Amino acid sequence: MEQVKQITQAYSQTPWRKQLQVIVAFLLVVVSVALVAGIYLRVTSQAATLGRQIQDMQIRMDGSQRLDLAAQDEVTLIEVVPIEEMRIQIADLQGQLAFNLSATVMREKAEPMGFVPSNPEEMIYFKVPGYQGKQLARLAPPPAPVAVNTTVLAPAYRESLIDWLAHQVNLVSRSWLPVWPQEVK
Amino acid sequence: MSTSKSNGDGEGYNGDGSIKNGWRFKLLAMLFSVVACLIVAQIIRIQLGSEADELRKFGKLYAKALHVYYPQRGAIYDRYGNMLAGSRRVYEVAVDLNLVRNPETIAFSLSKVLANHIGYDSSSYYDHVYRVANGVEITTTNYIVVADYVSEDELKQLSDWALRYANAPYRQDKKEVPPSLRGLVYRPRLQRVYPEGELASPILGFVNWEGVGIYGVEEKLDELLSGEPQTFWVSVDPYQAGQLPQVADGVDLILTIDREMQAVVERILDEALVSSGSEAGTIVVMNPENGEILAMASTPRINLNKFWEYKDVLNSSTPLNRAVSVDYEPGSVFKILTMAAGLDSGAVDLDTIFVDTGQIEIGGIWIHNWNYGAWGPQTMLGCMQHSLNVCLTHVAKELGTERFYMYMQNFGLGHMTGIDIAGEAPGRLKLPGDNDWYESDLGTNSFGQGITVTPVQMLMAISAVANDGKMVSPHILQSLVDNGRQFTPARSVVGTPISAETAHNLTDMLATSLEEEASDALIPGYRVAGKTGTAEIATPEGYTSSMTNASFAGWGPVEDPKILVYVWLEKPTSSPWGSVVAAPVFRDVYKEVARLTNLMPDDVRASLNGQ
Repeated sequence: MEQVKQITQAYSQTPWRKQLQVIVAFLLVVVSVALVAGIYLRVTSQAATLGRQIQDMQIRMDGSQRLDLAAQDEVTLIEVVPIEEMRIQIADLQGQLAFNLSATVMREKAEPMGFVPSNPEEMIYFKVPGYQGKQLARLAPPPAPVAVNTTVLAPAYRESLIDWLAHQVNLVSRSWLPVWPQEVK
Repeated sequence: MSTSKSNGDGEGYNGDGSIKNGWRFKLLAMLFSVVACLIVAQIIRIQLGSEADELRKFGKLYAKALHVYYPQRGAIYDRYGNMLAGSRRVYEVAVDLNLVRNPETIAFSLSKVLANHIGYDSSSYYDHVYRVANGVEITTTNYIVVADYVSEDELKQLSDWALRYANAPYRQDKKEVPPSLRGLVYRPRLQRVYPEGELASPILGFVNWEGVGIYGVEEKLDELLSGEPQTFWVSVDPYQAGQLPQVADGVDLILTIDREMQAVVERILDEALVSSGSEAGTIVVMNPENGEILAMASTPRINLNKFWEYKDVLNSSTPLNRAVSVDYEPGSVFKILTMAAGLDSGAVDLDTIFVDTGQIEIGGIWIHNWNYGAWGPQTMLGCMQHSLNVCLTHVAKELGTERFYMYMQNFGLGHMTGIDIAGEAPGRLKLPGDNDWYESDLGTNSFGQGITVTPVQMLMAISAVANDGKMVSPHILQSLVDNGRQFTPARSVVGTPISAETAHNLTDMLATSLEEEASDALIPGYRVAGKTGTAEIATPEGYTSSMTNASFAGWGPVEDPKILVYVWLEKPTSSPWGSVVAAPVFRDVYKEVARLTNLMPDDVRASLNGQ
């Protein structure tokens, strides 16, 4: 009996080993959960960062900027400008350009350079083939033309065999349509 | 060796292998479990408890931010794409009361930087911000606008002040609040600007502080230009970031006017006012083939970038655009229409001889010529050349009341032309049957008295004579750009009051008239047609010859008119006569317009076309 006990004792695991196994198993679970949580956090934080960046690029969420921060922190002055404010900036630059190209400014620039208004009596006229004269402003393309199918070719000359088959199947199925509800009844 | 250890009877273990003091671990585990259960229970309670709905509502308040999108006001360009009205970035400066630390500092900085800013009132700041920040007054909003339309320079100055305060040394031990501009916030926005300043101001009008178009195209087409402000909620949750609603900006407009021509015509008008001593003036240049207004000068003009000063220039009875908004008795220039009607109807023809006795009776009154003289036998050419009131009254009598007024209505008189400029006056064409119409009106109307018209109405009516009988509608809008596409409305003829033959005959007659008269309107190299007008101004005491309206309507080249010019000078003092003060203005304008439009002299054009 004693021998059996000794053998059992010899082949059984020590309590600290069992404890270690439990701890390792527990740690494995913890590490796995932490790993999954870490990946989840990383992905969600990236998504949140990108989402915030998108929002920052669209509009300024809080509507206004703090003057004290803008003055102290140079970074805030060169931060991402939302699209809405960028449009304001573009309109502003276009306005500035127009001021710099205004009739008064252009005249002030031209006169010191020796330009004078043309004198009709000194003008010499000649034909320049193809010259259309000063063109009217074209700031955008004209409206897209309404697509009108003007093709005159018969379908037989435009369809592939598969198109033709599909068309025929469609025609046949359509011819059945009115009949089906009656049959169902 | 380690039997005892392996048996678990070492220091940390009991004899049976269990952990010594294990109850402590169990107690700790239970404690943690209880805490975890409590946390879960609390979570469930918050989610399902009585205050859950209230908390959700509270959360929703912060889940989204209200955003108001103000569409950009459309720009205005001239026919060649030069910007006439655009936008400039300015700032709205406000105080966020939640952030304010030192209201005195903010007040001081604002009063220094914005002392001369239009619309900034430092006392208002003290009323609305200072008192609230110091708890004297309670407000329902934390965002108080203190100045609007603050320029880039002004904002930079405020920013410098903020930086200076931030870097200023102050003693930490003192209990007083350090100087700071914390709480001062700003947001960019757009303000209307006019790169050309005064140029074309009567056409353009302006946009006031409230963003509403006043006068001119800005008022007439305000809805198109301004677009509709849109309000929408934006989720602050970054996971819900998505496409914002697409909001259309205002429509860009391309006008028919030419910036260079407008500048030249305005200069000529200003010079004419000085040389003639006129009180006010108007010059309009139109293409008679399609009704495009190429230039429209009128006085007074205002610097649109300082529109708030307009009340110094315009009083309640002074319109900004006299070409559109002021109707007047045009005088002899109106004879063009009477003669057109007479020739077209067959009441008279080119060879008709009228014996002018110096007076004619109609409706119980006697009509006389401008010099009270009798001109004897006159052809219709002579009647127009000498501008004989008696002859034109005869023509109107030959036409008859019904036909005369039918023609005048067909010329569009008495109705607005529909030009794209705000404040158009309809003029007045009294018709038989009206309470204030008398038979004598047929006579006076025939030479432009007792009838009121605007310069654009006259242009529209005369375009029929200059354009093969086809009358066109004067317009200032050439194209509009909306959603990245440029739309050009089709313009059509609005009527054919006279035949092409009548138009040609009358044009030729009026060209010959100018040539035989050696008029100041003649231009070397160009054959033009036209007619002067000198109208006495009606006063409560009757017509006075001391004050006149001097006009001239002319067009050319006679073979194929491309330019129609209308000149109106009010109360000239150097001479009352249109032939003296208005005709030379037409000549100067025509010369410049021909130069700017590359309109070749008649002989050059004929020789080049013959090549």
